[in-house]
Amino acid sequence: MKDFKLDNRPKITPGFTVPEDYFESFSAQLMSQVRAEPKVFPLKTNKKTWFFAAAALLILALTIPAINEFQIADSPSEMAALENYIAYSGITDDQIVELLENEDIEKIKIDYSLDRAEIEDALYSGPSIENYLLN
Amino acid sequence: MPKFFALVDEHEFIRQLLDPKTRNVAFEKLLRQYQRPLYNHIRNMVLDHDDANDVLQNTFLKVFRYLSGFKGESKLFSWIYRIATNEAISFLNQKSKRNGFTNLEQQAALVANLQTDTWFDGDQVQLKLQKAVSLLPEKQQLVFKMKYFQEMKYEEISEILGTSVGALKASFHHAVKKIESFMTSD
Repeated sequence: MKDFKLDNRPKITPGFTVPEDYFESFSAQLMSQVRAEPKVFPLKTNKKTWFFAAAALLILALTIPAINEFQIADSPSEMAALENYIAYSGITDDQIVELLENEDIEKIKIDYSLDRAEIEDALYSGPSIENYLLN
Repeated sequence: MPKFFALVDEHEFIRQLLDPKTRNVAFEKLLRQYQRPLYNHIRNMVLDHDDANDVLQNTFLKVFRYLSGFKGESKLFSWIYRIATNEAISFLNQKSKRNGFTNLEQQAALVANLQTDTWFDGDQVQLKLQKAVSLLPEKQQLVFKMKYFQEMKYEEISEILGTSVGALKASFHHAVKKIESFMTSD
């Protein structure tokens, strides 16, 4: 074909045809389908509402076992079991502290108001005072 | 492209579409006025008449079902055309997958079928043009068809495809160059 330029030629149509009366019968058929569509009565809900409802349900479902997890042991034997678990689980003191609230930390605070004599006594009686001095 | 609504008229028409008392009558009006241009738009993409019929049906049913969700942020025509475009693309993707083709292989197969298609009466030039278009990247095909075959304005295509006018102009320009080169070749 010689040099072909779309702009220099009359419009080339796609070449498609349709069956006779296609559009008449299409619209009639479509409208009968539309009239048969079940009527939806929105309960003033929208996608956002459903999303938040689903999210709330999910959070509830996840917190139920978590609430059970956090039930504090009441009996002495349960407490002992808990203490042993914490002691031997490999959890560090820093990790335990991170799990505590400030008021819990305040409760277990010990008053270390020692006098000078007590400090000196502790240092001198220990075998590794050099370590404290050199490190 | 149906240009029968001034902005004020479009608001009133949308109100009628959303009101259950007037919805069916308004929808039938919308159907009669959009069915041909939408059919042409879809047919240009899927090529086969029966496939275009299926996609057109799905398009209008979706328009009807999702009317209540139409917020009016875009014009009604661009919303409807966007649904039609997405339906046609989904259809083609599913067809390709079913046949184990890439989308471009599927397009090539559809064009090859045109020669024996009852609902195609194009001559050799028209058939060669269809083949030339089918060799373009998918987006370029769509832009070319909407601009050249359907004679849509760049602004209208931009609203439908969500692509800037500048990008569309560049895409069309490249498409034309490739088509002209193919049409010139033997």
